[in-house]
Amino acid sequence: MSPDTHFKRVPAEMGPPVWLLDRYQRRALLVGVIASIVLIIGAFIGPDAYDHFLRAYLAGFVLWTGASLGCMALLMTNHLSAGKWGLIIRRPMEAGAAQFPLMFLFFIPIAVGIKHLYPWVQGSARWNLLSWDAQKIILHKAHLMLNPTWFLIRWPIYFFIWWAFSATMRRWSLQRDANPLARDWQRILENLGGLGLVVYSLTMTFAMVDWVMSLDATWFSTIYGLIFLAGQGLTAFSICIITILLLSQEEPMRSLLRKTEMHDLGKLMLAFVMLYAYLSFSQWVITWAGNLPQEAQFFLNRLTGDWVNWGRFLILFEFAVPFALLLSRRLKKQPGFMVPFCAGIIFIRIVDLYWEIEPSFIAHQPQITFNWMYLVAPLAIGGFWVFSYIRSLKAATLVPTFDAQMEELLEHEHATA
Amino acid sequence: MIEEGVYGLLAEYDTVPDLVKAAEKAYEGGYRRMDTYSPFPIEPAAEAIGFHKNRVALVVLIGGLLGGLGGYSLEFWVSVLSYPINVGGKPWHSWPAFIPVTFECTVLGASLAAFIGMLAMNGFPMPYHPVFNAPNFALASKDKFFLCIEAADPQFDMTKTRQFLEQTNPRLVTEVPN
Repeated sequence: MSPDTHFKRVPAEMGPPVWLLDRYQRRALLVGVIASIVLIIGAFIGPDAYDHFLRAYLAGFVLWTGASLGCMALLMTNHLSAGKWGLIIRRPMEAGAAQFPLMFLFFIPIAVGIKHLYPWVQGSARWNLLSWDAQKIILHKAHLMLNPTWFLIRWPIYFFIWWAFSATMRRWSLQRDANPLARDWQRILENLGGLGLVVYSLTMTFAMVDWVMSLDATWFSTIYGLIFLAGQGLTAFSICIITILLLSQEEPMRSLLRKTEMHDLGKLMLAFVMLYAYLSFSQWVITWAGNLPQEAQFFLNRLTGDWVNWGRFLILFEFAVPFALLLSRRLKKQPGFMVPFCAGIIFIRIVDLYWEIEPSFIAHQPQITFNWMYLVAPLAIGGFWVFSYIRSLKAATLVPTFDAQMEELLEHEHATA
Repeated sequence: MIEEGVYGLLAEYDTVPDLVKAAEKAYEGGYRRMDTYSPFPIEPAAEAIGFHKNRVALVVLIGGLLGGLGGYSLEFWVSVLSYPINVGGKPWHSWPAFIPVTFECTVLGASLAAFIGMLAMNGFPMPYHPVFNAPNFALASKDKFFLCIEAADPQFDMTKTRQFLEQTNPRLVTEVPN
């Protein structure tokens, strides 16, 4: 018996199923356009509509920039540690990380609305609402970092660095496919990934401090960036898992996607759910133990009045329920479960960002002021993000055609439960 | 039918796919009392001989729950019952402060349960196993893969089983004395 009968046949066509992607791409564009129109109209109708629009928009922007950042960080991790889990989602990760130019442009409304969002803009309405003590802290301690000029200079710097890393990884990965023996690709990408992870952690923390943490100009937390890191990992994994599962209706993913890798990806999701909970809890328990007025205010805004239910909802649905579900070996391997589950995780990330952003604005009124734009803004930006993501996905083969581990991916897998 | 003094028949293979294929065929052929031996874990081989589920996961869950419960109880006993101290004006039963220890104890309980449970369910410690009587079996720790159909299998027959194994592309089929 010849040994090659043990291996699955390499699909003849390694390119993505274009007709299927076209269909999703059209839908994404439609969602993006309609949601954007609704959002733009919403920004002008009703009291404080523009302020609500900006906060909702910021949540959407942070969510989808986070999706790209997560894809980039996972890609770096995968190049550094070389796991088979990353091989099957490498092209989706690369496509996700390729969206920085788009997200750079999507920052413009925030840059324009800076006066309405950030209390450290001197002379703005929010600045005038600050206590004299808070103004003093900003003027004497935070003004070197938190001033509009520097804020706007940092924006292109972040995006340039992220774009440079993700574009280089993408280019080298494609060159590796075309000419696998030209250079020692494995080592080159490994080094880039290692360096990139350090740069990512620092720049991402800076960016999240700029965009989200500084909404409350006097509060600070050193673990803040890491909490976003966990959230970005969750978002990016969700997107990649949904992508490969939807594409597994067609070749080449139909033959390439095995239960083994689905199981691995599910386990990594579980790890990120735990990481998120661990970091969020750490931030809270340190604040609780210290019990200092300037630190506690952040949680007093978020865990009193109606907001405490919002917090409970997050504990339940961003930690407890996903954790319990992902413990199951069977569910992790079930496409019918994982697709809606991952979509749910992305939704929960929106809920989380709302809880992160909105209470900074309503410090003295603990009731929740929910605005419908919070749901529409992530859809508006997400529609364009997904559209552009699919365009990047169509530009290359769906899996790397040359990788030392590719052979293992093609090994026959035996019936699993 | 049981042969006196024979533990089973051992087939030696060069590659993982050969082993997995042979194990699958043996399972299809109705053999149940068999085992595969390899230098590293091969999950498909375990599945091929009908070993789909094990109870390690359950043991780990129980170990984790006991560990977490133990950690929390210890803290509760120390800080509330045995030696209450006022820390920063917080209540004696300050559950948030107990969580880190509870978490660590959950991890400790779960990993100990995984380690000990796995060994116990594999039947370790096992000072004697007949398969080591086969002269070429030392290679199972090096670069060869083995399938052993045990004589205790109701379908085992010295000649028929040997014939069956010969067809599965082995390097060698040897008899394992008991």
